[in-house]
Amino acid sequence: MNRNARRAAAIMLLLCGAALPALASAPAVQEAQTLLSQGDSKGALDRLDRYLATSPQDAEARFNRGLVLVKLNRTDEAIKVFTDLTRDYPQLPEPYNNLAVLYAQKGDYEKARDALEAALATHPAYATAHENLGDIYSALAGAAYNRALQLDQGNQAVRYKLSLINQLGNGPGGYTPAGTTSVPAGNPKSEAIGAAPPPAAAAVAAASTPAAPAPAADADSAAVTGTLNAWAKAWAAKDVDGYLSFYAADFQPESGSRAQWEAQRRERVAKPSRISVRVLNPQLSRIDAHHVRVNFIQDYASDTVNDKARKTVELSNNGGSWKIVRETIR
Amino acid sequence: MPPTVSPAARLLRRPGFRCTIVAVLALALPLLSRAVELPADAGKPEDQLLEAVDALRGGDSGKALRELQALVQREPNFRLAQLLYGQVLAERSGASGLVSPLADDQDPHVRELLDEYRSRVAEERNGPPADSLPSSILRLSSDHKYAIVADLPRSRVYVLQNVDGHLHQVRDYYASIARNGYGKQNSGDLRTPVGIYRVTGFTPGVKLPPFYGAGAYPLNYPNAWDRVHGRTGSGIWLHGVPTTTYVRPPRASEGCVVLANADLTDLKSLIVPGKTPVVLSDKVDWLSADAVGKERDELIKRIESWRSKWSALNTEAYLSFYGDDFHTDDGMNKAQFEIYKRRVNQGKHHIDVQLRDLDLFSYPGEQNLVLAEFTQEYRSDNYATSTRKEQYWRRGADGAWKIVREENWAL
Repeated sequence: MNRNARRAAAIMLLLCGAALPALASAPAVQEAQTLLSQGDSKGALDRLDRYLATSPQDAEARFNRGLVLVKLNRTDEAIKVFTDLTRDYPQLPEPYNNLAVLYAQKGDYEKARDALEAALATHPAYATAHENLGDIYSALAGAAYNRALQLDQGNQAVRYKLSLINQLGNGPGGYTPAGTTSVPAGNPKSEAIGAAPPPAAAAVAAASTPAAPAPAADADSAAVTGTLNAWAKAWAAKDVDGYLSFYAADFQPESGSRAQWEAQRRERVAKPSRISVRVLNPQLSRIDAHHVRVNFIQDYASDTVNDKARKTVELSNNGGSWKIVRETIR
Repeated sequence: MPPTVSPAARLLRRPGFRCTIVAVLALALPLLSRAVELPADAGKPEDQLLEAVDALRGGDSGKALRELQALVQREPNFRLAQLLYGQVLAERSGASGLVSPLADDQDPHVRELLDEYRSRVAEERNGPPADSLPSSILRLSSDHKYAIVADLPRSRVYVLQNVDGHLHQVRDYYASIARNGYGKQNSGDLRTPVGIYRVTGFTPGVKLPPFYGAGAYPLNYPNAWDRVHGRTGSGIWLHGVPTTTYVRPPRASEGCVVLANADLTDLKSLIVPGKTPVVLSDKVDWLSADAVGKERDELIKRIESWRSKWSALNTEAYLSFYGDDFHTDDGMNKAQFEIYKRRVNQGKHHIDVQLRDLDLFSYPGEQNLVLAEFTQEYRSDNYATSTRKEQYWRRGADGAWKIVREENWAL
């Protein structure tokens, strides 16, 4: 799931490029884009190949050919196309960006990072590259965390997920678009980090002194914790109806409609062959008389994915039983 | 959600994107992919780690990232470096969903990495002052080119070089000790001994299980003083780590002192198996070179006096150097020893005792106890022998140094 989601995300990003209005493009490129939009990737490729036989240097045609190759799952060829473009047109950031996405798709985050940094070297304000670089840093961070905790028993399992990259595949509009977190050119977020005390020490302090939430009454606290444990248990048992029963009728998913969310959850909860879900370190705080907020670490493991995520849920007390009304990954 | 601009949209908006641009630009050099450049002098991995920590403190996360990136490329199994690298990357990424391992402070592996972090940072801050020496080495004979001092609670091993009787600290390693700390008493107590030992040999890594890494230097635990105290156990080594890791946590072994493989290999040219002294300390005081002089001179005089009385066959004066609680290594108490020595000395017309290669150590974990080690050339009218002697001197309540234990070993 993890890997597929990442792949879907990567392709989505690239296809953005293909679906563009073809202002001032060569007719062949426009035709290829039309064919592609009709689902005829093969035809689009043929059209571009024929055109490039006569105009081998047309950067836009080559760029589109790269996109078509991705669509056809011919990743290595696509990588070659974009690599050649970065060589021939080093001033263009987009081939670097797409190259990075393809490298990331192959799991080579170092190369992906290098490509994005190259894109940013020519276009420091290129928001998409910043976004993607954020994802790559996130992936590299996850890999570094795994290596940090790699134990003597040779445990290679991914314990920390590549969250942003996962989220990319979470449905329509899942990809956080360029521009939303555009950062100052050249020195992204340095102030935030610079202001921080030594990271380990800071994190220790943060970990050992959690912000004290307003304590919820003990009885409620036990009931809420029990509800969350039962929710995790139903999920782990792939009891989809049981799992969904923990959500209030007016539950609002983070994106999309409740019906879409429910359909997606039905599919995803049921899909893995073996999963375990644990609620770690729940911290309760009261919102009002009938609502509480719980921050916890969700420890999820399936046959293909292991991850820990910080989650916040809000529950509402409805006639004595607690139901989830909001759910956020932090 | 703010309006979005896809990359290719911008690509196409830019005028002149099409092929016409480019006859000229195609000549431009392609941007080299920006591989990590190792700083010209990257130094030891620990130095590089501390550089990165300093950079973070100074607000230069870009420098920290570069240092850590280079470091994890060099030493991919340096887990603490990976953890910090992950932290810096995670902060840079702005990813909110990425949970740092540090969030899970119950995870023992996370705790171990933090212990290592604290130990290394503390060493940088509070390590030995320049030109200071561990007070435990009062005198090192020119027979030893190097001596090793371990500060067990602080997870450090220092190497001191002996240049014409003057010591200089020349190496400084992070080291891991036993799970339950130090002060070994019994076999299986998972503690590292405190005491003065010597390296008895070397076994290269290829002849050992992978667990020991680059090799092992066994120590002579239990030594004479340990045996006086009935301490048990064996197999206390300085050794390396398996290739799956760069170092082990500060408290990880069953009693051994464990170094990074590179550091263990580095010791190869410094250690003389069978000779090199290793001081395993519960506390290392770093003093200026002349501050240890007084006690040293006092003891040298005292030992010389002991030698001359013995050499002169002044048996009663000689015996007065031995404390009431003196025992020989073969089990004689003070009274039995006196009878024996009187008898032996009566049969001699003359003897000659010469001492050389004197080492003096203030014994760690003890008050007012000094280990003197020297080579003793003994000749009498009917007997001659050369031995290495370990002699434990204790200062009594009256301020006088007396011998409480002696042990000879053949050269």
